[in-house]
Amino acid sequence: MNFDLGSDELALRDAIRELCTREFPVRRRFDRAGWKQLADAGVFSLRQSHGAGLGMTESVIVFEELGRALVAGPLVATHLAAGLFDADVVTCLDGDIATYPEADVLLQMGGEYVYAIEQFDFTPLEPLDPLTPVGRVGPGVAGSRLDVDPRQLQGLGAALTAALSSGIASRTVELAVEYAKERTQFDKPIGSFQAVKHMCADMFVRAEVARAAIDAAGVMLDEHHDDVARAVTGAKLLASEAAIANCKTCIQVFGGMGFTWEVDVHLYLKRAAVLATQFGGVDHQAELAASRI
Amino acid sequence: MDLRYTDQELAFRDELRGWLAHALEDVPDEPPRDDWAARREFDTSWQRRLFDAGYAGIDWPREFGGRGGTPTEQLIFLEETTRAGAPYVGVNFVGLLHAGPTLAAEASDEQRAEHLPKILRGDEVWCQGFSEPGAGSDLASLQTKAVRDGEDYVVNGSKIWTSFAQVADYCELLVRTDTPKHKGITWLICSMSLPGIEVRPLKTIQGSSEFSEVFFNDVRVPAINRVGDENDGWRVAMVTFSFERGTAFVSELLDSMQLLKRLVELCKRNGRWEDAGVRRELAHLSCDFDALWALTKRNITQAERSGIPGPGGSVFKLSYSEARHKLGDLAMRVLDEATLSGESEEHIRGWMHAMSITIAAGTSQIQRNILAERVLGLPR
Repeated sequence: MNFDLGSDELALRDAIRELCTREFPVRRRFDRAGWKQLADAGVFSLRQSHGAGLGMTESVIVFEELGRALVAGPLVATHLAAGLFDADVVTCLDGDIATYPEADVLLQMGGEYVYAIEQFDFTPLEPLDPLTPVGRVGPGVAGSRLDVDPRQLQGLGAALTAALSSGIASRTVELAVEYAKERTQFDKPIGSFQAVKHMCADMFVRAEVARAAIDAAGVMLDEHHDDVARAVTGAKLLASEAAIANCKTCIQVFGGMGFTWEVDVHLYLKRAAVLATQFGGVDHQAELAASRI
Repeated sequence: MDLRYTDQELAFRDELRGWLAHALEDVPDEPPRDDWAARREFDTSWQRRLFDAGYAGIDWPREFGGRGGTPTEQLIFLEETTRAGAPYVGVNFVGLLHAGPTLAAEASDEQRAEHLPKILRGDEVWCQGFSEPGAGSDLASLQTKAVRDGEDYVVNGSKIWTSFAQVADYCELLVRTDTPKHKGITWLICSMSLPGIEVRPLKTIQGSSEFSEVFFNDVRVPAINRVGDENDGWRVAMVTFSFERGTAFVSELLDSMQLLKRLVELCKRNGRWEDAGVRRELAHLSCDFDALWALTKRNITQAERSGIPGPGGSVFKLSYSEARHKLGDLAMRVLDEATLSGESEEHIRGWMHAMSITIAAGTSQIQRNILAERVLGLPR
C-alpha cells in the first residue's frame, strides 16, 4: 500500500499545473486552439494505448489540476469519448440541456444505452457560469448507439467530475488564505483572527478529505476493487459538497469584494455548481450510496 | 499510488486472521464497566496473549520487544482485530499509543529497556498526567511543580482527565521545573505507587469512571526518571501529541463503520429506511467514513515516508469527530422514544461519546488553530 503521490505522479501533476499557469488563466474561455493544446498535452488520450497508456489514478490527478485552474470546456466528455470514437470536442446531453453546445458530438447516457449524437440544433440559453455556455438541444437529433456499458462510463465520468470539483475545493483554500494574509482590518491581517482562521481550517479539512476520497476512487477503478462503485459515489458526493462549501466560505473571507466580478471567486462557485449537477447530483449520489451500504 | 497490500502484508493478514479465529474462542466475557481490577486483568491478559503470539507492538522496533513491522502492518492489525471483535486496547491505551512511542523516540536506553517490553507484555499500565484543572487547551500554563531536592524531584499539584489512573503503574507526568512557560516544563516517568499520590475518579456524562483527578502531595520522583532534559518537556510532549493525533483513532473509525451498519439494519427493520431524508443521511455518513478510511491510508503512507505522523492527524480528527456527532444525532432521531431507556444503549453511548472526541486530545478549536497556523501559515 502506498497512498500518496509518488515521484512520477508529482511530475505529471507539476507538468499539468505548469501548462495551466502558462496557457490557461482563469478567465480564458473555451476555444479550439486551447483545446488542441490540452489534447497535445495528452489530457484526453491519457488512458488510451495510443496516448500515455495510464490509468484513472493519473487521470484523476490531471483533472484535479484542470479543476484548480478552472480550465473551461467539456473536459470529462471529451476524455471519455477518446476511447470510443474520433472527435475533437465532445460534450454531454442531460435531458435536453447541453453545456458547450458548439461541440462536435453529444454523448447521451441513459440507464441502458449511450448514444453519440452528431446532428443537432440548439438554442443558446443564459448560463449560470459565464464560462460554461449552455443550450437547449432539439427537438430533432440524429446519432448512433455505442457499444459500451453506460454504468461504467457514468462511473468514470462521475470520478473525473469529482476530481475537477476536488481541484476547486483545494484551490479556493489557497485563495482564501492568501487574501486573509494580505487584507488588514483593525490594524491586523484578518487571517490573525480565529473566526477567519477557523473558516480556513474547515476549508482545508473539506478539501483534504475530498481529495483522499477521489484519489482512492481513481486507484480503486484501476485495481478493480469490489467497493469501487461506492467509492466513486462517495467521492462525487463529498467533492461536490466540498467545492461548493469552500467557494462560499472563500467569498465570505473576501467579504464584499467576493460578491463582485472584481475578483474571480464567483467563477469558482459557479463552476462548482455546474459540476455538482453533472453525472448525478448530490441527492442522486446519496441514493446510490444508500443502495450500496 | 496504490491501495493494494503487498504479498508480505497479505501474508501477515492471513496469518493474523488464522490466529484470531482460534484465539478469540476462549476470551472470557467483558467485565462490568466500573470493576477496574477486573478490567485491568481482562485487558492486560489479552495484551499478554498478543505478545506471546508475536502481535504486540506491530510497528515497534524489535530491540524493544516489538515486531519490527511497518505502519501498514499496524493498520492491518487494527483492521483485522476490530473486524474480528477482539478486545480493545483498553487500559493499555496510554502505554501503547502515547507513552510507549514517546519513550521509544526520546527516552534513555535504560528507560526504554525498563519499560517498553513490560508495556508490550501487558505487565505495565500507564496513565497520562498532562492536563490540569487550570491548564486544558492552554496546556503549557500547567502549574504542578517539581522542585529538585538531592536525587529526587518533589512534586506538588494536581492533574485531571487522567484515564485509568486507578489501575495504572506509571504516569507520563508533565511538571513545572522553571518559570518560562514552554521552556520550564519537564517530562517525568512517575510511579503511581509512590507515597503522596491520591486518585479521585470522576463520573463522566456516560456514567463511566475511567477519568480521574490525581493529586500529588510532596511526591518524591527520582530524577533518573526524567525523559529528555530538564525544561525540555514541552518538546517531548509535542512528540507524544503527534502520535496521539496520528493513528490513535483508527480503531475508533472501524468501530464507527460497524455502528453505522447496525443503525442502518435497525432502520431497515423499523421502517425508517423508507424515509428518504433518513436514508440519505445514513448514506452520506457511510461516504464520510469511507473517505476517512482513505485519508487514514494517506496519513499512514506519509508517516511511513517521514517517520512521524504529520498534520493529517488534525484533519482526520476534525472531520471524524464531526461525523460522529452527525451519527449520534441521527441515531437519537431515528430511535426516538426508544432512547428513553437503556434498550438502545450502544447508540446512546455513541451519541454521548461524540461529545468527548471534539474535546479530548486537543479540542476542535485547537485543531483548527494548529491547521491554520502551522499548515496554512496564517499569522498568530
